[in-house]
Amino acid sequence: MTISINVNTVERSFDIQPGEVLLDVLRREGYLEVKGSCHSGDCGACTVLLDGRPVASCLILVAKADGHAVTTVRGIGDQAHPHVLQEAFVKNGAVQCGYCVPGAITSAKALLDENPDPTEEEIRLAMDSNYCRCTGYEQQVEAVLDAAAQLRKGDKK
Amino acid sequence: MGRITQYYHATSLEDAFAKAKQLGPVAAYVGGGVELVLRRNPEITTLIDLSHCGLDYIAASREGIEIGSQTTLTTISRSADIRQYAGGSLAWWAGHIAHNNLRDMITVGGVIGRNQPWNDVVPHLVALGAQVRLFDGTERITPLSDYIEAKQPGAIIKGVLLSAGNAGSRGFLWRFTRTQQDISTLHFSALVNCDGKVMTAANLVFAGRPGHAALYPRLSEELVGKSLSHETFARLAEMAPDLVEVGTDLRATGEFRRELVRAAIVNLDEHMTGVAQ
Amino acid sequence: MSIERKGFRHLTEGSYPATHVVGKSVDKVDGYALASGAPMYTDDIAARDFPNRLHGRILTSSIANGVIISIDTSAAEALPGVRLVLTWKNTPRTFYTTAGQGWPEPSPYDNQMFTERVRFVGDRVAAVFADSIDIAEQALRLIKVSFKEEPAVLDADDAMKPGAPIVHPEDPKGAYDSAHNVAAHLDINVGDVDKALAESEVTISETFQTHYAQHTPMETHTAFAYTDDMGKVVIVSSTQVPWHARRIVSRVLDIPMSKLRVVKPRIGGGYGTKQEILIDDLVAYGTIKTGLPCEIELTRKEEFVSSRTRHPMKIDMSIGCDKQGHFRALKMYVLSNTGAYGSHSLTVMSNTGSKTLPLYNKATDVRFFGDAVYTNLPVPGAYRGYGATQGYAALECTIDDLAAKLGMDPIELRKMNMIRVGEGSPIFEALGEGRQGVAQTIKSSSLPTLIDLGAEAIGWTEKRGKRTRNGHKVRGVGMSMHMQGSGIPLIDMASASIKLNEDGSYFLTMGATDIGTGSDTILSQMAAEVLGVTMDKISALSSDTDLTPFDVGAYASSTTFVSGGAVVKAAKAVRNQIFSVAAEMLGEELDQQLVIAEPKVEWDNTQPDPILSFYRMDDGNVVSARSGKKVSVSDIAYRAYYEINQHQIATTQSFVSPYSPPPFAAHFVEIEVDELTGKVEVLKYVAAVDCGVSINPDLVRGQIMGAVANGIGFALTEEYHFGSHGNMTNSSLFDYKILSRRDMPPTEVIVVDNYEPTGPWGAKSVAEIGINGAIPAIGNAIFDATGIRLHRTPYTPDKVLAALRGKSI
Ligand SMILES: Cc1cc2nc3c(=O)[nH]c(=O)nc-3n(C[C@H](O)[C@H](O)[C@H](O)COP(=O)(O)OP(=O)(O)OC[C@H]3O[C@@H](n4cnc5c(N)ncnc54)[C@H](O)[C@@H]3O)c2cc1C
Ligand code: FES
Ligand code: FES
Repeated sequence: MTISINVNTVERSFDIQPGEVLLDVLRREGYLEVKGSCHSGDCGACTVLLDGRPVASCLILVAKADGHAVTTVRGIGDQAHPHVLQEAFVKNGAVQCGYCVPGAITSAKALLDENPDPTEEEIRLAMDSNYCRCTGYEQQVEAVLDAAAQLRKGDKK
Repeated sequence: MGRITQYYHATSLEDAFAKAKQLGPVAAYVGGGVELVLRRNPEITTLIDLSHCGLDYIAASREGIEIGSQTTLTTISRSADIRQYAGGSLAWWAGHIAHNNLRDMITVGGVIGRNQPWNDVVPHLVALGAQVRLFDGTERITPLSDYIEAKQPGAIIKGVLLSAGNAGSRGFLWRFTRTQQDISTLHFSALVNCDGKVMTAANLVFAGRPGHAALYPRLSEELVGKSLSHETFARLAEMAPDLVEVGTDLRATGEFRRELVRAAIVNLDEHMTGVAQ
Repeated sequence: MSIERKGFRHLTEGSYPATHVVGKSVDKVDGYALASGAPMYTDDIAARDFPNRLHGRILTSSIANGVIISIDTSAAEALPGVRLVLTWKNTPRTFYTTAGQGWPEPSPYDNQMFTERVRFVGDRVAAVFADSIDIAEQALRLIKVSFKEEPAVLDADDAMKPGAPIVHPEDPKGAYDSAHNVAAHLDINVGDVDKALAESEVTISETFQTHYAQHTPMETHTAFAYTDDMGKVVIVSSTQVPWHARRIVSRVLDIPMSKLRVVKPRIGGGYGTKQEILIDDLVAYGTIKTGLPCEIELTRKEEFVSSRTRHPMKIDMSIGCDKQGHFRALKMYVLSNTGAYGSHSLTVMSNTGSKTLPLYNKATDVRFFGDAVYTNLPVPGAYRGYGATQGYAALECTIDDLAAKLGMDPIELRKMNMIRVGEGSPIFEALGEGRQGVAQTIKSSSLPTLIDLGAEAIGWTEKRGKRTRNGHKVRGVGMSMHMQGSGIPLIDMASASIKLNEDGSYFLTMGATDIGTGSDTILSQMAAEVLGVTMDKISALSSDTDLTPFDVGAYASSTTFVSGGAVVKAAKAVRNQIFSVAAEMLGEELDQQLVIAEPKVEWDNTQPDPILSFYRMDDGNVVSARSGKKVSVSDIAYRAYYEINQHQIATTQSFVSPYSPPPFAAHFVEIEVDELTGKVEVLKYVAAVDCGVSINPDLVRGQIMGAVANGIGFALTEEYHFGSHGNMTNSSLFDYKILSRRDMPPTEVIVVDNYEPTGPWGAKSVAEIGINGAIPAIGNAIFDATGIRLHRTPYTPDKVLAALRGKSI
């Protein structure tokens, strides 16, 4: 079947199998910034935003996204125009192997979009899907606090 | 899920039900879809999407609160009405179980539809005395505890009702997990109503034992008419480990779960009496 | 220098040269690319460049031990879309080890691509390459295998018993005594330990048992191979050891190295498990047989069951001392379970002693001995900590029990016996990586400071022995102390090449394998420091067996120290070549001996680099000490490449060190034990570490934090459950629980820099040491809180509760 999804603000239509999950379709279509790891909803590596809310793209049926908007980490920012969260992750030493990072930043983006001044506990809760085996989480949490503070100051967007 | 050949966006409850009836057991309704993807039942060839059927609502009225079956855990956790209800236990836990991106996918209908033994939402709703509104051509309301005992294949869960009568009671949930993200080794939910220092009603539910959610009226009775005191709960903590059916699985032995049953009651005691033991 | 913020304190001890890039938390060179999800991991590259590649799937054994009587692949081969089915019948029969280690290889040759005999549930039986994953999986189900099942050894304790089933009846080369299932054996003696124990005023003997665990990198093992236009087989692999991978695949498949290239892209975490050649042979063989690109990405289940794990060990630990607590005797016996294959069996076991016992060098009589035994269980391998983690579990808990017996503060007992600057230990020389080691003298150590700062941060004096209660929960504090190494002395070799570009920037290529650790960044920092440039002037490439020089790979905590040494040498050599042209341009004399002399890594305050009294690098310029004149490096490059006396300014240097300076650590923890459930909650964790000079403090902190998180998971929640056939029953992230963001306790990292004179820019290593503390420190805290000593890990609620209820466990 053919479905249409607005991916990173671009209207796209995709030929899909009705039982496929979003992750597989996104990667097949070249959105390789979305990483797969467990394929069972346990690790958060594959997190994308569906209408602004974080979801596990490995478990969400792609057909459910028909007519909706998907944002990947590249839609949040890229190397040339990094989002303040991406910058904060780099500046705070929150990126090691980086495999978890697209998912973690995506969860964090959803949080900051509605809570500009989160506590550390709120950050941990809003990103608790995103396993990271490298960093022990601390610097990633600091990165989100840092990004939130910069966004509140309004000198970054 | 190679075998799914059709994804059907139903336009109304009637449409969804008619489609399901026509196809029989090869069709399944989609809530968040999480379980359907994970379990890949090879029988199923058609998925019926309910997202255009107007089931994503939380409606408060004098009778209570009705939660549409397509409502996600995150939405439940944020509802001001549900945060008020029975001390806010359902709202708090809906915002803390599993993890962030699943909380935005899991629907209350899907949770009830699947009702895994270790599920946390169903037993808590049972403790809260929730009812389900079913649609199978017509609408019917039935207690959730009955529904999970005798499922109605084909019927659509339209919504979950929390009666106003229980809004002032105290909801309680204690669960034992290995990590915050783990599923329950033992789940315990309670709803207790008090008149001053005397308990006038109680619903106690255990789940993840590793069996399905079950009410324990025998234990609940033990609290009714008793005063809110350590002695009352101590007696309960004595009895409960022998009464609650527990077994062994990957996460724990039956013996260890019996200890957890006792711990659950002690935690309820501390919650109700406000004093640590 | 001193940085303080919540969760991180960075201090320095001693003095050392001023630096402009080294010691700064510069951005990771790949940071922005990774943070925006650039397609840089193996599967990303495969998907982007080879959309029509074949996908491989592996059929694994469902029995623990037995022989394949027949295997029929005809139905699978007939399935449309299936391109290749591999079994023992149609693949090379070379014996080899999957362990990616140096040469000669210390692990036994007990592995073949496929065999008629399966040795554990999860062992390779067949592989299929097909047009899609779905087809490959369908094909697996069509392969008909019949096994003759045999009794299995499912407990390391049974492996050496008479009559035990023999896991490797073929008697593999390099196995110590396969007729008794002994893959490796060690017995190292210094003095006479039994006599010393008998004569000691106080002795203690305890037995500890550690458990199976998995690295769980977020990216599972992934590799693909294709044949390039010149007929070369190119393997792109998520490996920690590209050169070992090439050497092993070349031998197994009998392909000349000139026809084989291994490329390491970005890696999604390794922690040791990717020091193993698990699928590279298959994808290479796949492309050779089909002519098409072939990929395998292990599923999460395969990652748990069929890749590599941590060696479970049973350790008998005895200490003898006088009444004041002065150690005299240390005796450690290790029974290491090496599963169905002996990968890293000898070397992990030797590290259990060599990385732990020298810490208490006051003991005069030491014996370290052990057996690594085959069982029909999953295969352990290299895992962060590499045996030291298990050794410290036993050693550091026993020391606390000894302190209790002596009525001493465990910290005092440790301080009294620990190794200090200027001292060595006979163990360094007696025991290396499964063979004789190299004598070492400690040249730098902040250990005394680490202990004091850590104790203060946790509130040691106020809290210890208080058993503060909080309802049905009781609190305790515990600590432990550690050292590791920095590469394997006189064995690990690394090399690096640097060439100068016309605009004064440099291209640095190295074999050092950045697996997410940030080595490309810190090694660039080291080069930038020598060359007097900012980070943007260095572009780094690692690692590719065709394009970059050799390196043993990312393991043994070697990268910063050993690869760093190579980079510093290369940078100095290139700098000297630049000085030589500068001298020409300025019309000044420069002794060519100084230019071509082999550059030194070590730093000696009394003997500064002699060439620096003529020229120095300064922000892209060469400055003459004699005339004060300046010439830009870019002008030097243009002259050397286009104008006069033309030549390439470039070098390749390699480094191998007789030193392996140990980093030190003191870990402290406060915990709360729930007496109703037995659950242990970590309230606060403090890791104080001396890794020499922190080349990049934020990355140092990240290494420690990651290791601590993994350590706490290993101590409390991560474990393998087995069914009756030795089959793992919790092979998913749903059932195998690593710490999530909400489980990580508040953790303070205290780094106390201390210039290590033998290291590049004063650095030692930091990658592994942080994982060793959680088990003993938490175990000691449980003891402090409850008086109960747990001898088995992990400290799961059921075990703790049973102990609290007085049941033996
Ligand atoms: C990693 C992970 C961790 C988890 N941890 C927890 C946890 O800690 N606690 C917890 O409580 N749960 C947890 N969950 C489980 C989660 O609650 C279930 O997966 C849940 O059932 C998914 O809901 P869904 O809406 O996606 O269901 P779906 O997959 O959409 O549906 C499940 C079933 O219900 C049926 N169904 C759906 N909607 C309706 C309807 N309106 N009427 C009739 N039938 C319907 C479907 O046909 C299907 O059979 C976890 C899940 C995962 C993957
Ligand atoms: S890959 Fe989707 S949650 Fe792990
Ligand atoms: S940075 Fe490696 S998993 Fe998070």
